[in-house]
Amino acid sequence: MTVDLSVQLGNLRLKNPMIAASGTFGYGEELSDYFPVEKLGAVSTKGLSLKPRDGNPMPRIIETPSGMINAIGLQNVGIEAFIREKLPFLEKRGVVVIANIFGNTLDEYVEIARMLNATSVQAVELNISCPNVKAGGMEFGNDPKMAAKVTEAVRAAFDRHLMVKLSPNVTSIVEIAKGVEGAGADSLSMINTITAMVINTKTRRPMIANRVGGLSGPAIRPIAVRMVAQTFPQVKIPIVGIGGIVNANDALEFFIAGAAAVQVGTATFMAPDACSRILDDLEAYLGEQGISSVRELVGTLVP
Amino acid sequence: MKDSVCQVEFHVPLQDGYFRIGLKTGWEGFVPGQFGMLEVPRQDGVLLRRPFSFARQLGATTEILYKVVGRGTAALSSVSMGQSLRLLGPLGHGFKMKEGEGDCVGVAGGYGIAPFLEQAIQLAKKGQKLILFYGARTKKDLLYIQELNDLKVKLYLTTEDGSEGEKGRVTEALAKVYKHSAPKVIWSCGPVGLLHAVQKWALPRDVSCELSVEETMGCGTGVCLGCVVKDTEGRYRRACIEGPVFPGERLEF
Repeated sequence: MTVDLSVQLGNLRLKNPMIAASGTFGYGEELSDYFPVEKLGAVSTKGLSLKPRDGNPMPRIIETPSGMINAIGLQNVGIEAFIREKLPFLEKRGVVVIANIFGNTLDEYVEIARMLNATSVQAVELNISCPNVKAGGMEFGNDPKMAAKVTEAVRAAFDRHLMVKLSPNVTSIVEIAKGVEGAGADSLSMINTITAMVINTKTRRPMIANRVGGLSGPAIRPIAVRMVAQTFPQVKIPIVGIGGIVNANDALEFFIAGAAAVQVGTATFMAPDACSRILDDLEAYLGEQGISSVRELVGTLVP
Repeated sequence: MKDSVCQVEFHVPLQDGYFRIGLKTGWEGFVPGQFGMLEVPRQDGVLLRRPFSFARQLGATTEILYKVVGRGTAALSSVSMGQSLRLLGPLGHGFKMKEGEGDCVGVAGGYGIAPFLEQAIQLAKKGQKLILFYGARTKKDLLYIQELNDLKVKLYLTTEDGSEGEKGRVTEALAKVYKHSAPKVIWSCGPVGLLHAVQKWALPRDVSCELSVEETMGCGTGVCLGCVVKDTEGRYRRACIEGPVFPGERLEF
């Protein structure tokens, strides 16, 4: 049977629910040798800031049991270079672009959003949850009022789809989700990485130069699934599930928990064509099970 | 480069936790200094592939030299002949040949020896000779000595404990041999301290040097930004796609 993979995230239609997660897919071009990137529902870019950023010193990554910690520090080309040098490739390939953006201040978020509003990007993903930078980032994501404030400001500056990426490093992710929804977000992507640390017991120093970093990979998946399942009944806007998806079954967990689409990140480090392969496997599984659309699964968790 | 499933053609334990593993890649060859991201069995919470420099091409089989140092290499050491592993490669920029007269010199530290086996093979095919300064902690950490001798490589061995060759650092041997002359090119692969010492020796003497850095790597494709090194302009460069071999004058240690 043919399976309808398309999903509707509010005002954003995607041909399938597979989105490459920010910070794991460069600007799309890097992995285009491995599979046609336009095959994906969308690509979320590396986090973009107003000015280019060099990022953190090394070491920046460390593998942990079934996961990894990163503290890249949002190394990126800056919004101007992105629009000038990176976006044309994605446009030419017909990729649905979600620009992941990050600001040190509220004004910076707004400025970046305004610049993107004048481009073809279909969506902005607001990064208010990066654990690896000193100013901004998680400061906005930790407090429902601040999260709502930055969402509202960017909402006014960007006309198309506004996705807000939530931090799991909070007491109640549902409160943040509700605040962001009230401020005009079109969707929620969750979760970002979990703040974590590994210590070298010989040197008694952290194994990451930034001391702490963000934990990702299968190690965090059960936490992410729980958070999606908890948030889903409390909000009306769609949820994009993220956290340690490395195969089709992992993606199914998120759909059942309430995600309308998913993002795959760390799996791309394990294999450059992971997003493509997981999407194929998902389609095959739905076909075998006689499920005509992935939409039929969303939020079907048995009470 | 491509990502393919490769059968293990041989897997040979050497001394002291070192192994040679041969993967049927079907490649015609690679540039010495290039590397691959090899899948290792996902046991004990292993998640990511591991980066390995290629040691030589034997027909359709590509050889990797490794030492068991952690979870990933421990998992790899359990792989049997006939099993298949995914290998992404060949990746990155390798050592460049340099035209003109003069000695081609390699400076290797520890298992940084790997690319010099293939380099020696390729130079021998051109009727050229590799002069190799090879340092390790002890005699047990010196590898491929027989193969390098068979290829008529001029070897200067050093060990930190004096158990083989000269006692001391490999760059001291380099400085001694080239006290009154200079090679046309130095290729180096090994720990960062070694690369820095090679750079400090070569640059003031106007000797062209290429340094292969060893960094933790997440993806090998340029997207994780976990393997960066600083260049002289203070910018971070990705070892996986902009390196791992960098012109010596571009790196800031």
